[in-house]
Amino acid sequence: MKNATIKKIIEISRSNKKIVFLSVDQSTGFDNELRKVLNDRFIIEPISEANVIGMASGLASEGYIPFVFNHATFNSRRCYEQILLDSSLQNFPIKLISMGAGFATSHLGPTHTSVDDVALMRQIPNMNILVPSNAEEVSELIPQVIKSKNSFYIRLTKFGIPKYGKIPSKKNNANSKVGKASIVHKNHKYQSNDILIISNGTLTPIAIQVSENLSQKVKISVLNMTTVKPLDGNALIKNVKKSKKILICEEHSLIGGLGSACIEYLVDQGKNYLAKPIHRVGVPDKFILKHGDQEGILDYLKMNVLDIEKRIKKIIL
Amino acid sequence: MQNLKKINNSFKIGLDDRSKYLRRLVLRGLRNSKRGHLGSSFSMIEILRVLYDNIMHYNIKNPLSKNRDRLVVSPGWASLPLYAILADKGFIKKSELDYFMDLNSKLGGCIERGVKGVEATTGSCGHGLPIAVGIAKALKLSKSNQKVFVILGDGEHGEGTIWEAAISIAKNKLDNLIILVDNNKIQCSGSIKEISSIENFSAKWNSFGLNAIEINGHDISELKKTLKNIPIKKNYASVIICHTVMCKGIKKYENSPDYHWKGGFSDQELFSLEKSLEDYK
Repeated sequence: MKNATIKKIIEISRSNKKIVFLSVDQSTGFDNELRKVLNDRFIIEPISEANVIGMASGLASEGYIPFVFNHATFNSRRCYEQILLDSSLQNFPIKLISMGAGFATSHLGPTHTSVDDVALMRQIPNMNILVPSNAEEVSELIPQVIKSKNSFYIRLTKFGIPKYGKIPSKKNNANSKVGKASIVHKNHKYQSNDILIISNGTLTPIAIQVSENLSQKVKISVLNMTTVKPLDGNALIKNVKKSKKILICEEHSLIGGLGSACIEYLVDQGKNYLAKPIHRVGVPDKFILKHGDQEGILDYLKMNVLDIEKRIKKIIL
Repeated sequence: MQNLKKINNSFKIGLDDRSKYLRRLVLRGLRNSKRGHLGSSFSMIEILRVLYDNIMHYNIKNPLSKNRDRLVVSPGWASLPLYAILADKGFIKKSELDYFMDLNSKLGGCIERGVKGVEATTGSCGHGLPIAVGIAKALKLSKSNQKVFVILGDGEHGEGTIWEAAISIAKNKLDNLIILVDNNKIQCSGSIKEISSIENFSAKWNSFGLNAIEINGHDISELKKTLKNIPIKKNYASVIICHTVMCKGIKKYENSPDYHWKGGFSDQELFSLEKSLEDYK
């Protein structure tokens, strides 16, 4: 996903001379291409996250479109006040490319894992939050990000193509729109679902695989909620209405992420949508003091295909 | 070593009519709010005055003109002196000062973008310089010859972002950036020396690869002469350590941390401040 994101930015930067790419001393894997195409608009800054966000805001104030490339954890809580005050408050839009989010760099332990970033970004007015699940989707979204006058937090939860689960079909990815959620998998031909899975990022391919595996037993639709903010309330309500039960899955803390956003939206409608059982898969409120790769941590937290299948059977049967 | 002569002169130098007039505009705002950051408001008046009277290019009718010089005032809590000079120049109405800090007033206790003539919202320490770095970089990318001025408080040098920005400024060779440090030597809880243990600002900035000099920040002719000859050194960002006096103009409050912030001014106190200012020699 990181590669697809940067390739798309380079492609658009050939004609869009307002794009500036700031790397906070992180290797993009495309440094030479960035230098060649963006020239002095590709800037590798010293390790100074807070300064770089202020700097990006200053560039935005002069009409540039700054992308800031960094690890998710350093691109969110490390420079939170700068994102809030220097960029958002003053309407100086910046685009944050936050790689290695969730447990993508779990081998480095808790300093590098980022499961609170969506919660932090949701608090920031004018901030759009994208949690894409695959490279094709991100390629669809980047041109929209560049065109938009808003700030964006683009949360990339893994490198390359998903290793687990199943990528949404090309047809579904082609419809990726900022602010729009869509059903990326449905394992039955009926109107209503036994269970609606709402997911994004790493968990969408996992949810699709779960849906396929249970196609003979449980009627499932997977609603891919790539944009956490602004939340596609219409799609949420429309699909919740059609479903008996709901399961929200995210590679993020259970506090403040996609699940919280959906539940808050449903409550705020004042129509008793929460009368339906809503279950959640996510990271509990504790430090995950483990190492190993992303897959191992997802297994440990029962966020893999098999465990989610078990969870659904328990909920439904 | 600090430039002791400049420090002593910053105490000795008197205030002319214009400097007193601008301070009266500050007091006009204070009459309404009855609270504010008086100390730094009075220490940075001459820096702002010279920038707006003699140095910066700006267009009141077109405040966002591409050909303007940019000013970011990082100690945002010193909003009144900036609003005073903006009122004096006609960016805003002087009568707006009479509603300073009111519910529906645009003029708050910290500097906010949205007030005509203001480049950036500031108030949380250490934010102004990184924004100014971005503006200076943008002007370089756009091949603009305009300059970016940024005023820093001395107390906010405790913030890591100041030094993060310093590294970035030197790396990016931002010689279109001019930092003016309002070195009034007082922060909220006491002296800079006591609380932050910083004495020699210019040595610190020079060691980061910028070019720093020290001047008397209340001396109009010295400010003018210095600012007309920037960058001080080609390819280097300029840092001008302006030796100033906290609460300059109110003899009995000068150099006291008690007037960094003060609330609950009575009408009588405000009257005595005005009297004290008029008598200032």
